[in-house]
Amino acid sequence: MVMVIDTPIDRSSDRPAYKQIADRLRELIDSGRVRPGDRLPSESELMSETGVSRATARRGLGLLINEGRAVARTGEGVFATGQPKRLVNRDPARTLTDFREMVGAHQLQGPNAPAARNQGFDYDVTLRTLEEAPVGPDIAKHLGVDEGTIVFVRRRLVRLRPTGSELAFRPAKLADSYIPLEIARGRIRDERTGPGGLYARIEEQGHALTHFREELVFRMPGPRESHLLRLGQGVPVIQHTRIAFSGERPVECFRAVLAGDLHEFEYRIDAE
Amino acid sequence: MTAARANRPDAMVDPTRDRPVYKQIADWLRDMIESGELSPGDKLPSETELMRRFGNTRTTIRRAFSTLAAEGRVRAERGVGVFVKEVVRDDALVRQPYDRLARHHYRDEGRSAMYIDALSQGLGSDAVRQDRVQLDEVPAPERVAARLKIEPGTTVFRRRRRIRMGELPTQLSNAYLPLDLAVGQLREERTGDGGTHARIEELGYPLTHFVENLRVRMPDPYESHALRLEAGVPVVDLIQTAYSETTPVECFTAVIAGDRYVFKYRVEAS
Repeated sequence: MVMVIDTPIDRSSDRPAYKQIADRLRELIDSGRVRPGDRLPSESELMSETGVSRATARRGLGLLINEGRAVARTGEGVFATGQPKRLVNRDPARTLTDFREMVGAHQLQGPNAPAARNQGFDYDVTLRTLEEAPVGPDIAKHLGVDEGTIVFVRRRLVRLRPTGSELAFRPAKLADSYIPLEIARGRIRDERTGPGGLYARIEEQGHALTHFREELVFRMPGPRESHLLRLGQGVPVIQHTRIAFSGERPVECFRAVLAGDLHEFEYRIDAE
Repeated sequence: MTAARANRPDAMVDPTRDRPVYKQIADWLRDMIESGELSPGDKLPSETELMRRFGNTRTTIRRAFSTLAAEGRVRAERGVGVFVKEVVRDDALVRQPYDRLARHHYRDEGRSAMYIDALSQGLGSDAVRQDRVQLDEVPAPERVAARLKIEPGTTVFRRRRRIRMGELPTQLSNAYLPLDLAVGQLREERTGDGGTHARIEELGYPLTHFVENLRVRMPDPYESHALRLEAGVPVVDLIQTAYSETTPVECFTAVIAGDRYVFKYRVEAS
């Protein structure tokens, strides 16, 4: 079992030593070199291999346990459990076509909450901000407006936890909706957008939704995303963009950044 | 603190510090990228500008650039300069899963899904190349067995290959077929017009639908090398099952370079 942490801990780095320890062990687990059930180095072994204090070693192992990559067994040690369980996003835009039937109080949760619960996850959504802000080049292109145009933005954070576990919620997804100002009226600016959610409110303004375009890009996170999602070093993300159209006109752009080790997308594709 | 450092007009490196000068210069450039002062696609200051600003040799500046390139943050364009890397390459292919697997392509037009991807970049079918082809019978890996609804370890037919679009590798794939389907041209290096899906239908299994799962992860060293991936580029781990009604007939897995494809889907609202 004993594995050597080859790369020494860099004391001069901005990255705390306990996170570096977690990074090394995470890489071993995610690459499969350490398999589920393998015992990870103990606190004492980490201390003698890397020269860190017991507190640092403990914090490093604790980080992996919180991520769902390892589990502590009293008297036996800490064992790898493999990658955390992933939430499967099934046909994301298609589930939206039911939005007109969506009723119920928990509108902030959005259409994904019931599916997450069915997969055995506790699903927590918080509203980060509601604001007017200028759009960058990417979102501007999707909305068909000039870069820097002010739009209304709803920013949310989704956190996940396997149901029944004692672990803390993990930040899992940043989800932002960008709406042109002339459409962002009434309840669209409220914390709770009401039955049917954002799309129902947009339709009520006279913009019947005709279709959605979705894009997935697979990349490394930027520093802000890494920080907000508390991502370990080297954990990539999935960038999910969805644009709602009323005929030729884009009426909303949704942009989500999802932790790559907690999510999976599934699409059913008909042969016709 | 880092943003302030980047904005200081006459940033100096401190040769008396323990940290090597080339790393300090790399730090300064990295701050500009992380703070957003330099965005994807932007050109970094030239070697000459940086030599002047920091009073250092060209070798030291180049080492700073190499450090950032090894982190996957920049790419060098010979004769032009060093640029902040884009998330997705300019010449990335568009993969439209709802379209590329459609029957009219493979049955009527004789085009497999790979060729449809090539068309998205205005490339002809001759741009799609396959190499490192390996045909054999192997025990089905767990994920594959589950989708084919067979016992793990059951022998299946496997076609492995690497796909390139022109010179650039784009994916490494494994296609698994139950042995009773692996007959005729399906066992050959080239499966003919319309590819595997057309051949499977000819055997009497009309394809009704596919289920495709996508994950992202970092590549292992073999994948990095075979796909000629630059540092810091993740891969898409794709598994796709082809169904004839409720019968799974093929399980396909692929490792796709993350910066060479954008996945696009269009869905009607009702």
